[in-house]
Amino acid sequence: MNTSSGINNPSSLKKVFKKRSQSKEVWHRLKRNKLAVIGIVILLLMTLVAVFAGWLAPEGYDAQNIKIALKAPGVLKDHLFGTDSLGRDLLSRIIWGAQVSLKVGLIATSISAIAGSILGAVAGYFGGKLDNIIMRCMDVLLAIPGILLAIAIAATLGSGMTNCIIAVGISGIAGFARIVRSAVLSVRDQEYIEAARAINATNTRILIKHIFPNVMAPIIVQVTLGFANAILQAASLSFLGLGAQVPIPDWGALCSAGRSYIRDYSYLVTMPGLAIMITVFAVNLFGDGLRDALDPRLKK
Amino acid sequence: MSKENKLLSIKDLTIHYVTDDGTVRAVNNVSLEVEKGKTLGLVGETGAGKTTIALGIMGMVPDPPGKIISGSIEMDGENLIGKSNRFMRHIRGKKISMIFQDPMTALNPIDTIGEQIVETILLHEKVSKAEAHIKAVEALERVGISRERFNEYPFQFSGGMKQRVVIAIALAANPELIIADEPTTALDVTIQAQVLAMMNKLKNELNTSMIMITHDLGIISEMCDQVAVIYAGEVVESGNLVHIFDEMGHPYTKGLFNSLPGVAIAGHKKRLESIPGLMPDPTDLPSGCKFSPRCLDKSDKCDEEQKLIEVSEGHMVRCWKFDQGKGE
Amino acid sequence: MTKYFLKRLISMIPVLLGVTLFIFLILHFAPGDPARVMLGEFAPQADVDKLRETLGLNQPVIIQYFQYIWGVLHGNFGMSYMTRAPVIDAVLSRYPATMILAGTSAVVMVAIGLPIGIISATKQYSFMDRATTTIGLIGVSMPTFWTGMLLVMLFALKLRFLPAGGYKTPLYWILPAFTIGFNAAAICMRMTRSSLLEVIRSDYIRTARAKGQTEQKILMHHAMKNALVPIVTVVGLQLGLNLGGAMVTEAVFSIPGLGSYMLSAILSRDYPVVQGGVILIATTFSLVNLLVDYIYAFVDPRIKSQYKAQSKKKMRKEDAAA
Repeated sequence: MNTSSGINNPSSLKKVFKKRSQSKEVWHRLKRNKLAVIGIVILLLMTLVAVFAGWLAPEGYDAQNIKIALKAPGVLKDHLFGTDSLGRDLLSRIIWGAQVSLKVGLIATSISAIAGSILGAVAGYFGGKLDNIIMRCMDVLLAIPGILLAIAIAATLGSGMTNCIIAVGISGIAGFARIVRSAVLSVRDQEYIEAARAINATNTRILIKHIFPNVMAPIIVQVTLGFANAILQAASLSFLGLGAQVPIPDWGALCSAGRSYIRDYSYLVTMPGLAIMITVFAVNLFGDGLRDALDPRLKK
Repeated sequence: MSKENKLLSIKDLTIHYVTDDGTVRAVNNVSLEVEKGKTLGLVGETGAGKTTIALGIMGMVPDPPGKIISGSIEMDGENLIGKSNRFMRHIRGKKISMIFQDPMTALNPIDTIGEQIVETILLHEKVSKAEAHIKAVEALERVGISRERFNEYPFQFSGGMKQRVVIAIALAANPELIIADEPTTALDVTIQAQVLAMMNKLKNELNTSMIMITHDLGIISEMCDQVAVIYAGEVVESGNLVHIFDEMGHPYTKGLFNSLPGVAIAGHKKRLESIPGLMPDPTDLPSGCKFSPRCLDKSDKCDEEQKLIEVSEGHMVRCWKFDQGKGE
Repeated sequence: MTKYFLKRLISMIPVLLGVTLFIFLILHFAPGDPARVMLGEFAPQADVDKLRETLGLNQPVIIQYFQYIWGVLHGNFGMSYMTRAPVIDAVLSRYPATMILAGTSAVVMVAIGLPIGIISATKQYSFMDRATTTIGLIGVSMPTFWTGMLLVMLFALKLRFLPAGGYKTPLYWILPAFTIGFNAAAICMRMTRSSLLEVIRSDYIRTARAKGQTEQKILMHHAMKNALVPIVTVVGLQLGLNLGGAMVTEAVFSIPGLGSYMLSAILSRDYPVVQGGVILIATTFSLVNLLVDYIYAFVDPRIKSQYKAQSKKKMRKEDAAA
């Protein structure tokens, strides 16, 4: 029979059973993607800036000093990014702005993700009338262009960051619902679900234990997309005057404030905008890398 | 085999894939010949390198990461390796056609099957569109599909019918050689038999040569004149049907036959014997005989590079045990 | 197939009704009293109350809603609280500017995004591909208002090339079109690239190559046509969004379009205008989506047969019932 002769030697077996667990595999692929790593690093840095804004920012976000108003970047020693019309240090404002913008993005996306995923999962799993009702409601939300929807909701609730978060959060629900629903639909009719039902698992148990883990991948990808979108939408709302109120240094609000000075003091607009762009860019890099890592056949 | 009868002659072909995970030595010094009007069968497991050989002939080895390291492929006095893509485009479809394994995805979903046959004809023959249409209908009927289905789309056909369309496309411009890469593996057994019978009929009608790539010894016995057994990118045994089926030499070939479910011999039921172990990792091939780690008769001489030895006329085996000159 | 689309048109109605209900409820639960806004801070409360009576604002919300829908069905979209002019006229008069903006930016999107996406996909992993992918990602990450302001800074202020605001001659259309167009082109480019990449790996592309077809024809006919569906989706989506949601760009460039009108109407609680505007926007958006689905049928025969099958199924059911 098959005893020695080297076929069962350890090194050849090792080569065959080289598989890692699935999430470790994804992490490994992600690490190899240089752009995604850059994205993660930038994002981490931004998060650190946001969390430690109090320590990092040279000044508070509303430290006014009319005497040094509108100084260009680099002119004054203590004001690397210059000052705005009220003499506030732009660098500090932007650092504090990181806290605001990231917080908004995170909470709003969480609202969209949780509410949207639950709705989508329920609709996809139970089907029938429930599915119809939920998806019709989502259709209504989707028939209104995102920014218009967010503005309408923000106007209803009133201005201010909290309401901005809720508005952006609500306008993101439909996107999650759709994606989760279609993911659940593709998994629902697989045989292992039938097997679980055959041993009398309750619907909740099936949902939590079997279906959710398998729809995590599209949810994760949508979270990164949603996060990027949320930051942009919140910035737009603030730009239009509906989100952050003076003197909260949301990046969009900073751009709006700098707009009147765009001719001679353009840095007031370019700097905050750059902050938005770099952050969203990092999120997108990460999201793209994540998508490639989760579905490797697309890359090679 | 006189020179006039040789249609295609492959000598010492070596193809590697250079990837981040290492260099895959897919094809190593393979030499094969196809005679006019005859069928050469390439047998081997998945991953042995058979498809790569076929792609090499067609000039379709993906580059990157594939690279033809050395060797020659001669047809009509020309070496196909190193020729420009422009040159090869005139070969593909016209002189050499290839059909692939999975018929479900081989056809363009948004063109009618008729258009797809016409496309081949228009590419290689100087005829008008109307004439091409007529020829395409002929090609379709030759594979047993009624002309009324000319304007239908691939999704309206079953797997077996789709593969017939693929064959019709491949034969439309009357190639001299057709390479079939596991053409029936994805089909039901009964459909398999139909398609193979049709292929044989057409082959004889048009006097086309064929390279049949398969892992199914039954198909080999039905369709092929010459056989080459491929293992880890090398030819380990080659010869005609008698040589391979009745006088098999190489331990791998023996193993292949032993792993077929067989009829009872002299009252004793034959046990299914599998070949222990797995094919070696193509990025890390062993030196010496590549089959030796799995061979039950391994000895020290197996660590040397093995050459093809002529056991009888036309029958080659890559194993030192058959080298009568050196003794046991 | 026409039956399928008629069915789709009809099914749009409940969704649009839902939209009107949704907006209606949102507006009515918003703080602020339109009557007060109209008459101003210092008007006496009595006048405000009288105005509320006249406008029917004291009735239950549901009654108000049905009255509104009843009016709409008769073509009456109400009067603007601000201008006392019919909503339809006000809204439609702002529509052309938005349409021009959406149209021009769609042209920019396709003209830039499509070719670059194709080149990027065919030369995958080359320097060009990496560069354009990165630029595309940057384009998608830039907030529209910032893009707009950067363009203004460069072309209007520094180079004094183009006007910075207003909407009079075609020259005024360029910067706004590029503001939206740049972002949209990045989206289009990414979608084109990814869709094409996936198609290029298909077996039927390999078959086409094995036939001896030229790379050009393979790309344009076999690959692109199969890659079109997601691309058309994205282009349609962008177009639809811009036909009602380009508020930020309209704000940056002071364009008298529907978007900015909506914004000011929402802020001033001009309910009828918001209602009417949203109905128009949602209807247009849904119609654009329907149009996109229609185009699918011409590109992909499988989809066409699906549409036909659905209407055939319905016919058979009707036959059975009869």
